[in-house]
Order: sequence, then structure tokens, then C-alpha cells
Amino acid sequence: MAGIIKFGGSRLAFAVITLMAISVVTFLATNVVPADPARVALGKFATPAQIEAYNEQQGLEEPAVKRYVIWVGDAIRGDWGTSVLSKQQVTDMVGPRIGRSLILALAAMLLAIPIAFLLGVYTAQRIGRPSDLAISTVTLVVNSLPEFVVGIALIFVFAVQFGILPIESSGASMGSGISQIKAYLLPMFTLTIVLVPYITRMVRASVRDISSQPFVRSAALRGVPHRGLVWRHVVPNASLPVVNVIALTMAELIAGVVIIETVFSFPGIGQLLVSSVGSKDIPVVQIITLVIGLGFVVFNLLADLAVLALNPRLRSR
Amino acid sequence: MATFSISSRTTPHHRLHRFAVFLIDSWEARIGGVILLVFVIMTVFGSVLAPYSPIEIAVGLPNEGMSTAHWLGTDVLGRDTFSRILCGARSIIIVPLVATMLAFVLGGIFGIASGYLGGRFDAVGSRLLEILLALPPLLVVLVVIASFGTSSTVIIISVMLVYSPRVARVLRGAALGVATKEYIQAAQARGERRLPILLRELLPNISSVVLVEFAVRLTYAIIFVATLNFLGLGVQPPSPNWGAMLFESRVTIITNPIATIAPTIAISTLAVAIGLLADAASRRFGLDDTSEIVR
Amino acid sequence: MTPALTVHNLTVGYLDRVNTTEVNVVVRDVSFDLHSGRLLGLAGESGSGKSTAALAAIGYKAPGSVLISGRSQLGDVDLLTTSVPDLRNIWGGQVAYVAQDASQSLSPLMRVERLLAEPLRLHLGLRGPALRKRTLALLEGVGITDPESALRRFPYQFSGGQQQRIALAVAMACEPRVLILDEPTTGLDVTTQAQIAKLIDRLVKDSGTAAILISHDLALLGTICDEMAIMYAGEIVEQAPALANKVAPRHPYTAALLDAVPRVDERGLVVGIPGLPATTAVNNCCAFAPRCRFTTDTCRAHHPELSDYGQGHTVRCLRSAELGALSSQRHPPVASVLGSNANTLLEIQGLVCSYRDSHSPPVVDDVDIRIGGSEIVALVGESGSGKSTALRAIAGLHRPDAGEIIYDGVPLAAQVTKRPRTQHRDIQLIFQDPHASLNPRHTVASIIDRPMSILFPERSASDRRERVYDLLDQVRLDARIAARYPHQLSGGQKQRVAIARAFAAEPRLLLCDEIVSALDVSVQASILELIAELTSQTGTAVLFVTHDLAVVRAIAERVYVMRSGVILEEGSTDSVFEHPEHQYTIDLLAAVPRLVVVSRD
Repeated sequence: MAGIIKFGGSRLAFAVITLMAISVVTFLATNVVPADPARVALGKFATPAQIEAYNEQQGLEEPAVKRYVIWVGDAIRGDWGTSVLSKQQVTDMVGPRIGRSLILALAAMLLAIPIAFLLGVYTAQRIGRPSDLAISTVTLVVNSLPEFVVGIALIFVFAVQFGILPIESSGASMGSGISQIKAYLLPMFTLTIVLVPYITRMVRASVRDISSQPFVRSAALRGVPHRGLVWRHVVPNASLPVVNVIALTMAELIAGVVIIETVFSFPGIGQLLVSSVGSKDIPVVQIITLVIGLGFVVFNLLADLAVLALNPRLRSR
Repeated sequence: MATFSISSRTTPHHRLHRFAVFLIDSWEARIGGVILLVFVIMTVFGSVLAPYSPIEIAVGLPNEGMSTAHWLGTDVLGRDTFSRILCGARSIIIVPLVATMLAFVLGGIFGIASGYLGGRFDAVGSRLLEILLALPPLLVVLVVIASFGTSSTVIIISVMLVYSPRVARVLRGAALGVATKEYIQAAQARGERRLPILLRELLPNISSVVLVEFAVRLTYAIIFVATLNFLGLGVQPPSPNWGAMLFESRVTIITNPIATIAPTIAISTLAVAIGLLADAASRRFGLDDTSEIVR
Repeated sequence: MTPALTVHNLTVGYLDRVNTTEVNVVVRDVSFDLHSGRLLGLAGESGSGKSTAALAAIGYKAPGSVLISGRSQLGDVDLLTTSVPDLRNIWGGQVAYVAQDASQSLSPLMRVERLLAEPLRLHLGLRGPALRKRTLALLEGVGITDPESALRRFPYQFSGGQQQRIALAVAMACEPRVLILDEPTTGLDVTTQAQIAKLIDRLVKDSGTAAILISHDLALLGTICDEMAIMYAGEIVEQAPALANKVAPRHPYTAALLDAVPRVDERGLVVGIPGLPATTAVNNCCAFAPRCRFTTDTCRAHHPELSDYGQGHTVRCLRSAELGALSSQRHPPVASVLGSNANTLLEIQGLVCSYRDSHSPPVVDDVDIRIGGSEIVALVGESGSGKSTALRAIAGLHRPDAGEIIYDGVPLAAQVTKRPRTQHRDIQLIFQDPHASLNPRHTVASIIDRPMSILFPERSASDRRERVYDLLDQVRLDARIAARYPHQLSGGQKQRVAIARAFAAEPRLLLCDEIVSALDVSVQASILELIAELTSQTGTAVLFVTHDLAVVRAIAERVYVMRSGVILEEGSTDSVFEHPEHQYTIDLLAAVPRLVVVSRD
């Protein structure tokens, strides 16, 4: 029990520190380091009056630390300011998109993890055989491909050639039932294809390592049948490092969501982030960064919980 | 005994030989090597070989398909896609290469020092690393670009910043693994200073890790920068760049597919080639592929 | 009585790594019977094929191994022709296996209850209360106190000795007819080792299982086995009943091996076997011929068969009939060189060491050690006693919390970099693991040259080169080795290079940290001989840190016994070993298995 509190506490503290680091980096980059943040935000053609108004709105006369505290406080309270570009409330722009991005990310993850586990365990038992070589080569090749290439390839096959799925996904926000679901499918598959090879390779390597451990031979010499060896003795031990790897792919997942939403014009926060970066809509960029950072930290904490559940040493230490 | 020389360090012959064996031994390395060679030729001679100027508008009709005049057709603005592909090779490699090298200078020095010196420096250093590693790279780079624009300098510096903790982490691990070896202690026990120990005993033993990590990191950097270009946040038009070409031609994917397909294949081939090489190298040098590589 | 397991002409090979059409034979023509309630000891150095033979005998095919011929009869079943699915019904049920390191051989994420229940469910179909009752009884049977709570714990929550007890309980779960014990005591502390050996003895006698005990420790086998077989290059070279700890070797290898084993109850230096152990079987000559002192041309031209000398004593040697029982070649006990002790070279007073980041008590606590001018002093203790830390403090690699280290009348600086060059020369260090102590990126010549180029900058390159060859010659290494890299050398050769490197500095005090514990017995003996010879030539004093009491007896003139950071006893080796005073020393010495070698049957 003491182990749980100690481990959980340290992971929670780390999550808070990470989130703070993300907010500090965002704040520094957008608000402190640039000599004239207002000019950065409003662009070359802003009038002096606009700039003054922006400075006042952002409280740029105040010292940086105070500004940071106020900014974080506002963000937590839900006071997210207004877009420089559209003058809309950032809350209204970002809010509805969060759910859509979250569904996309979760669905891809839930699809990718079991597929990757099955592929990894399967190939690890056939190392050097044709089926392993084929799967390993495909995962290696796909793992090297940029996300947008995978996305475009899928568009080409399913939207252009076969025409069974929409070429872009703006339908996710407005269309009716079926078309809404269809809008999710291609981005989701793309994200899954991006995630699977990386996790598969880790599972394969981990299962292979564990399989050569003496305790597996000992269990075999106890008469444990092949299936029991794999699922009772090898896979549980092989999962421990893999869960850590899955936590690490979280950053990958975020990048994937941002890029793939842009490829498919999927109405999520990733697409809004890219377009806001392009148009230098700083308040929107700031808020989306914080929201994504929060999601990232929460996902990581969940992975830590999984490690805790799987590894008795962490629980009892 | 004529071949024997007292001062023989790691004989360069020995290592070159290992590298040659590695290239010939594995099919991944062979394929990757050949593709990379083609790519290097394109980088050097691309602009000489190109039939048209890569940035000249309307050398043909807009969105023309494949023809003998324009092997890979033309884009929206009637520029020759084949010429743009040939000339784009240089821009896709320069920015990631410079960024990766800088990340190795910054992260490498920090990581090796941290792993080798250990103690309080390492304790504080690895905490800091842990936090820096937790920052999602794309997020950080996007925020920086939002503030400072999309010049090559901004991209190089921001990519260097997000990659140096990753380099530092890997090299710290490698240095730490070697630093506790008894031959290092033996050198300390005979009163050798830190720098000679570092140069003579430690660095030769982590060189293969450095090599593999460089290859892996460069792959990721190329993909990363190509992605930024694709998002319209990298090289600004009209310079030819495979990622930017995709960004521009994507709207015409149905009417003029080849303008999209050509740069897609170019990027994929390059990424896969380096990926194959990095994979073959990491297995050749016996590096553990469970050691998580953080993108 | 029919044997429980009859192994006949077992021959096993491994596919060659480079040329996969070749097979290297590693077990050849091995035959033995296992009888109910009796323990067969299978001894040999690493690479002799003892583990491969035992595993192959129960039908286990290691990856890359090829069964060439043989039978292994369990009742009316030949295990070698049985399919793997059928073997799974036998393994864990009628045949059980216990591996070397229990911490590695019990699945780490399974509680003890599941580990014990697995074979019981699979082979006996036990469920529910009957299952639980049986698991509790098994744990009690191997001496686990509080079995109820032990069932709920994970293997890592137990000490090494307890883990091995649990592994034994799992193996005994289905009352196997045959039990394979593969180095079950290796890696355990000497007192734990004795307890496990006793437990094995009792389990075998009580259950009536037929067991085979594989070990490199001849003394251990001699004390608990009913019969012993010695393997060399994949063959059994001698097999004999072991009676009351007495062995009477007839094969020159057995005799040489016994001379190489240091013993706690006998003074005097061990004798190494020249050359390296052969690891693959040889066809047309005696495999031991290159290393044997009785070799004749016949031995190099003919392969010996086993000849029977009655009472179950068989020997594979062409000359065994003519040679008869072999006598020991051990060096006569060295009379301590009086006066070497007189002048003090190193004196440690009140040394206290701890690790900065731990809040636990100091690992070295108020230790005093004195080493005379050309004395060999041993510091002996079990793992975690702090002996290596003390040694590192002397070498300047660990900064002590308190205490003084006075070398040649002058206090030594705590940090090695603060010491003058003469002290760097004078104090040299040799490590336990020869693989980790040589930089893989440098040639042997470069490794041996390095201390000279640092510590004797006035010497010319050609002088140093000459000296490298002298040193190689002194440590009995061929000059051709100079151009090689460490990975091209065997463990013993590497340790010789490390010794040459230490002597290149012309030290007055040599610090040896467990330098023989990673080596095979025959190699260990020749390294001990080499150290004794070099130090007596050069008058170098030695501080020899080890966990092995027998090694202490073989080489040291004086000994310090250390436990939990404290020196418990010190004195001349003979007086400490013959009249130990501290209870701990008494217990340690009592736990060491002893072997009596007689020269007549």
C-alpha cells in the first residue's frame, strides 16, 4: 500500500510538473521572449491603437511572472479570451472540437493496442520465418513513413479509387449520423496504422527477450503447454516494458492527431492549432497547447496506473 | 611482429571493415544504401539534371498529366514536377541535417558529461532531462513557429531544442553503461585524468551508439521537417520542397494525382531507406531494440 | 533393482554458428543409470557438456541443438523419441528440473501459490481445498516458515536461499521419479549453500526420487552424492561411487582437477591444469591429451573407451591400468617467509565508508588492516560484507567517511587523482570480471603498455614494447596475443592480461578484488599459482579480497574475516582455519564441504 502511494504520488507530481513545463514553454515562447508580443500576435499591419488594445488585454505592462500567474489562472477558470483573427470567444472555438479529437485519439488507441499485441506476440514466436519477416518488414517500412503520407495513401485508395469514404472529414461536425461516422473512419484508420508498427516492434522485441529467460525454460520443463507458456509466463512479463512504451507513444499520438486532422480537414483541435499557428492567432494557440498538454499528462497517468496494476514490485515496495 | 604497433588505438581498418561487412551482410542495409546513394546524387547534381527551372511558372500547362515533355506532369502553376522533385532533395535534407548535428553537439555533450561524471551534476541533469522529454515535440515547435515565424533558422533551432534532450538521454545511457566498467576504474586507479579517460577509454566504446542514434534521429528529423512543410509551416513557396509540394498539390489529388503521388513516393522512399539503414545498423552493433527510442 | 532412468550412449551436438551445416558434438556417448533414492553427481568445468547432457537426457532440445544418438529409458518410454506434447505430460510430473538461479527460474509475476499450483493442476488435476492443502505441505516440506503467508507472496520477496527452496518445492510437487538439479547452489552464500545441499539430500532420500546433481563443485558433490561422474569435452571420463567423502581418482583429469581445487582443510598452493578446457568432443585421440602430464603418442592416436575397474568404477583413459591410483601433485605447504611481516607497508586505521545516497549504516565500519612488506593478506567475507568497498577506498576510488590509510609511513590522499605518481605505480588493482576490466577497443599490447606510458614517461617506446613482451612471457601468454583484442581471448587469458597490466606498473602493493571467482577451477588454480609466483619474485605485497575460504587457505599468509563492515577475526591463516575463535568463522568453516582424496581404493 505504501508502495502505491509513493509511486502514485511521484507520478502525479511529475504530471503536474510536466503540465507546468508545457505552460511555461508556451508562455515564454509567445509572451516573454518576443520583443513585441503584440506585433507577433497582430501582424505587420496592425495599427498602434490595435497594439495598445492588445497590450492592455494581455496585461503586457505587468512583470512576466505576474502575467503568467494571471494567464494560468484565467485558463483554469475557463476564461480563454478571444481570437485575434475571428474575434470569437476561444471557448466557443475550441470547446466543441475537444470531444471530437478525443474520440479520434481514443478509438485509434483502442484499435491499435490489441492489434499490435497480437501481431507482436505472433511474430515473436516465428522469428526468422517467412511470416515474421513479412510482418517485420511491413512494420519497419510503415514505421518509417510520415503520418501524412499514410493519410494521403488511404485517401487515394478509399476516397479517390473506390470512393467509399469521404475525401475529407468536415462532415464530423455537421453531417447526419452515417456521414458523421464515415468522416471519422479514415482519420481513425490512418492514426491506427501509424501507431501499430511502433508498438508491434516493441511487443515483438520484448516477447522475444522474455522468451529466452530461464524461467520460461523452467516452466516448459514443468510441462506447461505452449499456450500457457505464452499467455501466463511470457506475455505478462513482456507487457511491463511495453506499457511504458505506449506511454511514450502518447507524444506520437498527439503529433499524429494534429497532422492527420489537418490531412483530412477533420474539425478537431489539432486542425485548429495548425491553422492558428499559420495565422499567428496566439490566444488560440496558447489555449490549445494547454488543452493538449492536459490530455497528454492524463494519458500518461493512466499508463502509470496500468504499470502499477501489472507490476507487484511497485505495489509492495 | 611487424604488424604490431604499441600505440595502435582502435585501428581504423578494423572499424571500416566492420562497417563494410555490415553493409554487405544485410539486405536492409543494401537496399537502404542504394536508395540513399541515389538521394545523395540528387542532392548534389539535382539542379544540374533538372530539365526545367524548378520555380519557373508555366513551363507547361497547369495540372498537365505525365508526358514526354513533363515526365511527372506539372502542378497548379504549371511548374515541372520532375524538376521540382530533383531540386527539392537538397532542401529536405539540409534543415534536418543541420538541426540534428546541432542537437548532437548540445545534447551529446550534455548527455555524455552527465553519464560520465555522474554525481550531483547527473542527478540534477537527468531530472531536467526527464521534464524536457515529457514535452511533446510537435507542440513545442508549433508554439515557437507561431511566435517567431517559419524561417529555416527558427525551424532548425526549434528542432534542435526538442531533439537535444532525446539525444542527451540516449548518449547519457551509453556513457553511464561504459563509465561503470572496470577498465575505466583501472584508468582512474593509475591516476589518469578525466579528459584522457573520456577520449581513450569511453568514447571509442560508445561510437556505435552515437552512429546509430544519429541515423535514427536524422530519419525522425527529416520526417518532422517534411511534416512541417506539409502543414504549410516550413519552407515558403516557391522553393521546391517535397513536403511543401504535397501541401500545394493536395487540392488537386483527384484531377492531377501524379503531382501528389510523386512527392509522396519521394519522401516515403527516403524515409524508408534511412529507416532500413538505422534498423540494420542497430542490429549490427547489437543495440537492444527494446531500448525505447523517443521520437 | 531396475533404474528409474537409464541413459545410454547419449550424443548431442550444436549447429555451428558460422557454418550451419556443421555440427559440433558437445556430448558424446554418455551413459548412466539413475536409481531411486540415490543422487548422481555430474561434475565438470564450464563447456564440459554436463548441463546439455542432463537436459538432453530428459528429452529437452535446446535451440540449435541436435540429438545425434542415444536412448533415455524412463520405465518403458524412451524420452528421446517421445514427441514434445507427450513430453509435456512427463515434464513436471514424472521428471522435474531445478535450474541454477531461482530468482531467474521462477516466473516473476506469479505468486508462489500459482507457481506451486501449476504443475499440480496440470499433472494431478488437483483443485480447490485439496490443491491448497498440498501446496502448504510442499512449502513446509522444504522448510519455508509460515507457508500460509508465503503462498500470497511473489518470488522476489524471498531471499536467494528461500527462492531455491520454493523452486525445489515446485519441482517436487508431483513426486517425480527423476529429478534434475542444475547447479542449484551456485551463486548462494556458503552457509546457504550448505543448507540447500542438506535439503536436497533429505528430499531425495525421503521421496525416493532418482536425482542427478550437476555442479562444478567437486567437494559439494563428494559430500552428498552416492555416485560421481566427471565430464570432460562432452564425455564421462571417470565414474565412481562416492563413499564417505572419499575419492580415489584414476583418471589424470580427475586427479588434476582435484589438485586444482583449493581446500579449507589443507594448506598449500593448488596446481593449475595447463592449456584451456576442450569444449567439443574429439574423435581420434584422447580429448585430455594436450593438457595431461602422462600423455604418450598412443594417447594422441587413439580414442580411449571406458574401462571397468569393478565396484562401479569406470575410467576413460588408455593408461589407467598401468598408472593405477594417482597421487596428488599439490605443492607442499609454503613455510611463511618470516620477516616479510616485519616492516609495515600499509596500515589502515578506523576506516569508515558508506554510500552517499543511502541512509543505511556504513558498509565499512571502523576497520583496521595491516599489510607487511611482501605479505599476502586475504580479506574474506560473504557478499555485502563491505570487503570490496574497503579495497576501493585503498585504491582511492571510494572516498572514506573517516579513518586513515597510511602507505609506507605516509597518509594516502582519499582521491586517487590527488596522489603522486609514485603511489599510482606502487598500488595496482586487479578486478573480478576480466571481461569488463579490459577495454574492448584496445589491443592487448596497447592495454599493457598504457600504465607504462602514463607512469614511466621517461621510457622510450621501444623499451616499453620490449617490456610488454617480457610481461606477456611472465604471465605465460604467447607473444602473438599482443596484437589481439580482448574479445578474442578466453576468460583466463584476459585475467592474465589484467595481471600483466598491473605488473607493468611495477607495484609494491597489489589489490586483488575477487580475481578468480569468475573462472573455472583449473584456470583459477593457474591464476593463483601465477600470482604467488610473480609476487614472490618481485616481493610485491598483496591484499586479496575473496568470498572463498578455500582460496584464502591456498594463497594467503594472514587473513581478516569480515562481516557487515566489521572485522571479526584476524590472524595467520593456519591459526584462523585450525582454531577459529569467532562463532561466525566457525560457522563459515563448518559450512564448507570437504573432500578427502585418497590414493588407494
